[in-house]
Amino acid sequence: MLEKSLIFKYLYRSHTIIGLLVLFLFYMSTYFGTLTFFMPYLKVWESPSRHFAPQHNHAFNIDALLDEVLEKHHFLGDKPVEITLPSFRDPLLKISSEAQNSLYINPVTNEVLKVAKEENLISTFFNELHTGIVIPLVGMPLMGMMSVGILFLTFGGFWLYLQKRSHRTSSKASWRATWLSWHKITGLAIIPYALVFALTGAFLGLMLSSSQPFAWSMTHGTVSNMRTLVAPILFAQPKYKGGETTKQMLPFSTLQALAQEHYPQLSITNATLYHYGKEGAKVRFRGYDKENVAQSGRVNRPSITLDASSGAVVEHKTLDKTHGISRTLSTFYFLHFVPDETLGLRVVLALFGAILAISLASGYLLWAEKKLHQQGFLADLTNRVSIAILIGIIPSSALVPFLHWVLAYELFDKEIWIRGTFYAFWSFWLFYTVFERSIVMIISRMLKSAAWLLLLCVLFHGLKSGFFFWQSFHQKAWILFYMDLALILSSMVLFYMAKWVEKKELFYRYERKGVFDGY
Amino acid sequence: MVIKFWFIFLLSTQLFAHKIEGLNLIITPIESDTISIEGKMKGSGKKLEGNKIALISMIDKRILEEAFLEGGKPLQLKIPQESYWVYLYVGDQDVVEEGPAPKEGFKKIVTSQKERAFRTMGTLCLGFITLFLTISGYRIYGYKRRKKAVSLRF
Repeated sequence: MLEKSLIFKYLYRSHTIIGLLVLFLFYMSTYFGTLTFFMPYLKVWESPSRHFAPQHNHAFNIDALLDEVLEKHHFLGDKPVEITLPSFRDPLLKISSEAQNSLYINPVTNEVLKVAKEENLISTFFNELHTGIVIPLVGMPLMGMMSVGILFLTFGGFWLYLQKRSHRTSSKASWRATWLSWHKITGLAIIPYALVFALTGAFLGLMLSSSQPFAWSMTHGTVSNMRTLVAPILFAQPKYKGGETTKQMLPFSTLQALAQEHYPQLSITNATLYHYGKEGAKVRFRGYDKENVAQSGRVNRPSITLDASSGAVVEHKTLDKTHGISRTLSTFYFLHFVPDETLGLRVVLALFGAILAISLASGYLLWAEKKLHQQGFLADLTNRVSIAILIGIIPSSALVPFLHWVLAYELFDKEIWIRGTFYAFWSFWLFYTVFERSIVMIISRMLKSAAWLLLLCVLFHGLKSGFFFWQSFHQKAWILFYMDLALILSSMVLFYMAKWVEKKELFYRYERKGVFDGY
Repeated sequence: MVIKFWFIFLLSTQLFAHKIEGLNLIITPIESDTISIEGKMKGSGKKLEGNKIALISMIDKRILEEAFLEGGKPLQLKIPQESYWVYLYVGDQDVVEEGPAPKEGFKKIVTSQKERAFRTMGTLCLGFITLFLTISGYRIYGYKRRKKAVSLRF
């Protein structure tokens, strides 16, 4: 058994080392993950086809339209047709099928839209940066490993806090003490948040990508894809036989009302049409259970199936009838994705995410403080590179929505341009941190450029889509209005921070020593 | 340190789009200036059915031809007289390939833009990273020299 003080020492050291290893990638994941909480709203904001004021509760009526649309766009056939009802996630109604490109209908005007794939460019890109999938092959497992590291840091940090040893904090007023208290306070505040999100994140990053050997060994070397093994059991798709003769269907709204009547707790989000227009056609309504949102997430939707011509109930699958593992999985996913929750919870979680980012950054500063008084160039160089990564991420990510609105929609490789510019801009900041001598200058220029880019992207959004924020206010398109407002506000905050950095004594300290002496 | 550069380098190599994992769009030119188009799943080799295929002009982005994949047979289309892309639509996404030229060549040509964005931005990325490496190397060199000079003086 190790002596207690020795355990403390080991844990303290490993907390530092693992923290430094995990910090940069997890910071990236935290930063983009926090932005991803607002993904549904970002999606609306980034696509002009969703720029309208939706009706109350996203009401719609496609009764007159449905038959014609399905016929005209080659949807009728053996493959089931999936209808995603308008919601806060996407105010458009979507019709899709396995073998067809999706169709979008504006629920207010009942107009069939042609929507380019590029329109979800920002949110997809941010999400991919969050999961680490942008790094080929190793990206997702790597992020999973980072999450495991964060779990260790959370537990270890809490244990270290409990020991309450006042170690080597000689003067209370030193910066080290300041960073330590910041790191402690923020770290304690986000323990439950970090545990839930790092645990689920580790599961998503590591388990899903490394399930192949398990599948392979369980099937004695025949199948290596876990999904093909579990999907038929967990996500069993019902198979219905359709007749040949055509038959008159009940209107869609009637069917929906009937489904709602038979299953009042169901909040319908999707409908699937089987053999629509033929004899024996079925419609399956899926959604989440209002009394148990967590267990009825997108992987485990309870459903009710109706006969499309008579309206009789064919199958009534309540939440109790779903597979236990699906329910667990759904709860698990719910904790990470909060799929059906709206703004309130998302804002709270995003605040926690910001605190986590501060905690990570103050952890770095704590280490940097120690290195500041050492000889050599290494400390200065790591400080500069860290600034390029931790703060340089802000202007680089602000560039993405800006370019999204500036570049033409018709550009066929728009996505590559934007992603490429993001990386190029980020590496530009990496170069700039060693090129420019003054650290304060570097930070304030980064913040200022981010602030300008955000302001400009609000401007170009207005110019390109015709929805300036006063117009969206006037037309009561609240999501657009609040998105613009949030961008302007964050731009103001960044301007203020840039000014604040220039005044602050603290940041000049990092310029005194190191590589740039006598420059 | 090295690890960090390595990460950024890795990040910068990921710049592709218009490709869907596990999906192949196969275009083969056959006789008399026609092409046959097939969509295939990489893993299972299953052929796509019912998906929309569009030939789109590179010059003015107009749709030259639209057709649907049917019954597992390869779709045969005439090669248009100008440079074009072949789009395959799957759900919300699309797969894009540059279409092959007819025998006598296109009447109207635009230069291939397939890798343009990737190449430009990749070069820019690597350029900045090289600049970063050279400048920090230069700084460290200067720092070491100054230190030597200081220690010699005493």
